[in-house]
Amino acid sequence: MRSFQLRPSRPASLDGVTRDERGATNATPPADARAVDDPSRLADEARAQREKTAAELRSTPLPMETEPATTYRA
Amino acid sequence: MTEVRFASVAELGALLRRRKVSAVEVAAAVLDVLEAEGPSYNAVAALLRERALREARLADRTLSRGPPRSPLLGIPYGAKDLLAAVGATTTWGAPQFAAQTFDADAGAIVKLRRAGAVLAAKLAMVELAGGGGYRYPSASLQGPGLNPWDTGRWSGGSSSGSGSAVAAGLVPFALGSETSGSIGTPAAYCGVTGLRPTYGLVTRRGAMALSWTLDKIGPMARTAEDCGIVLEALAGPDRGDASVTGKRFRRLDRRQSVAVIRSVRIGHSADELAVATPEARAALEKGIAELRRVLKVKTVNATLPEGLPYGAMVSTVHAAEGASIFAELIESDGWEELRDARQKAGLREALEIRARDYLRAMRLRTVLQERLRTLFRDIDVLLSFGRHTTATHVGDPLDRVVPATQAQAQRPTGNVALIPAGNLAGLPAIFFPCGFGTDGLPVGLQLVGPPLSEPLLVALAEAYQRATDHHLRRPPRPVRRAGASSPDRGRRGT
Repeated sequence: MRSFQLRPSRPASLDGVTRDERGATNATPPADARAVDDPSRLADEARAQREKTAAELRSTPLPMETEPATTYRA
Repeated sequence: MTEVRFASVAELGALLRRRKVSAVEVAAAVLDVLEAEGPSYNAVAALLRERALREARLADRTLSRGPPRSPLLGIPYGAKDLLAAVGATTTWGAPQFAAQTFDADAGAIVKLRRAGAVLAAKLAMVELAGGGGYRYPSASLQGPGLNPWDTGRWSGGSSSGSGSAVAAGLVPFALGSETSGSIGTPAAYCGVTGLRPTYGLVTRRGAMALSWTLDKIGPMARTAEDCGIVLEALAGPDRGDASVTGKRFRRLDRRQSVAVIRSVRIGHSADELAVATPEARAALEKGIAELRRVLKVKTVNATLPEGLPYGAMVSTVHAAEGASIFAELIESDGWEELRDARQKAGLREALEIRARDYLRAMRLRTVLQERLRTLFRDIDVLLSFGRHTTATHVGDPLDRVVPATQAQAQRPTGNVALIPAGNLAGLPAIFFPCGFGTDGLPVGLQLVGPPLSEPLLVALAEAYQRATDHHLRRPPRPVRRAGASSPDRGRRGT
């Protein structure tokens, strides 16, 4: 395993403290005239969430040599 | 049932060994209470009366031949309905699988059967273990999991039936599973003890896969001692599951426990209590102080590595893996049968997660593992709350903004991301009750250690429970409410 240091870029976020077991974010949804469970609205929200999540991942510093975790045990 | 109901595994085992009660009598009593009261909590997916009585008769025959080797001999239990079991449907909590059956038991159930435990029921769960990010507790074929402490509150998910059934005294212990929070949340909300094992310690053969790199099977019970007893039977090799390490788990004896507790270094961040809801905060604070006093330990300040997007990492990994697993179903007409509209949209969108983002999340897991290894050089365990809130109202959407946490959104938050972080790194955790909030609902703590530190985690929680009685408190008897089993009960805005 290579050694490296990750530069802290920002404080730990609140992700993971929501009551959704998935750890979804607490962001206030934008005003939307559609019903809260309207499928098209949910699809838009899911897309926006995916893009937001991807942006978060991409903006987190990561040394080029870091390989994906291939084992999660001792 | 007075003597048997709410008895711990250890107590029941003693009664069985002394022949004060037979395994068939215990099984019959458990089956009756599951049948009578399970519907009050939407906790039961299927009752296995015939199978349970058959296994109990076998246990009685073994007991008649002398003292049993297994402490689980003749002990009934329930299994989350994502574990395959012969003799019942395995619905995965989803309408599409309402009639699904398997011709072999899941590996975890095989292990418990070999230990002499008696499978009494399949227990309800959130559909597909909530992989798409459900909005309502009603996201289950069996209806919303109702909390025995207040059936207007949620039992937590996705192991909802496992949490309710143990809390209500319907079964002595249950199997749950955790991808990210699915043992911890119902344990905290229902006031029971839950043990999330190290990734790879317990076989997942025959279990519904949501995320190959995150899923773990673990026990939920009334005591840490019971969780340890069950984990001893569950852990170990299984040639049918390549992810299993083959390591075993053994509880520490009393002398070993005293020694490790005397020298344990517990990390904790006092900051995080600021994000607890007003109902939960005082009880959590008291519980943490009580744990320090009981164990005679001081905690040192320790926080999770900063700069890692824990929520984004865990949601990307399990959504991408879950979408791959369920891709054909997602793209079929049958997908619309799922109960929860947000869950449907979430997993459908997860098909679009790019490889670069999934892989980045997986590479960040490597960073997290490295940094946690460093953290665990200075401490032995991390202490945090199980959940920062008491059980939510069963009709509340789960993605509703929580005012107490919104106000804290930009501040350092200690270890509030311990559930996603612990799961991403494959770390074990024990969740146990530490008191009651101002609304009368349970709150609990969690201890997380490095891989394979379960003996220490169980010893610490056992020591705490020997000196306290939060885990012995019993919820009120159920009051059957009209429409309690309706899957849409309590939904808001529909």
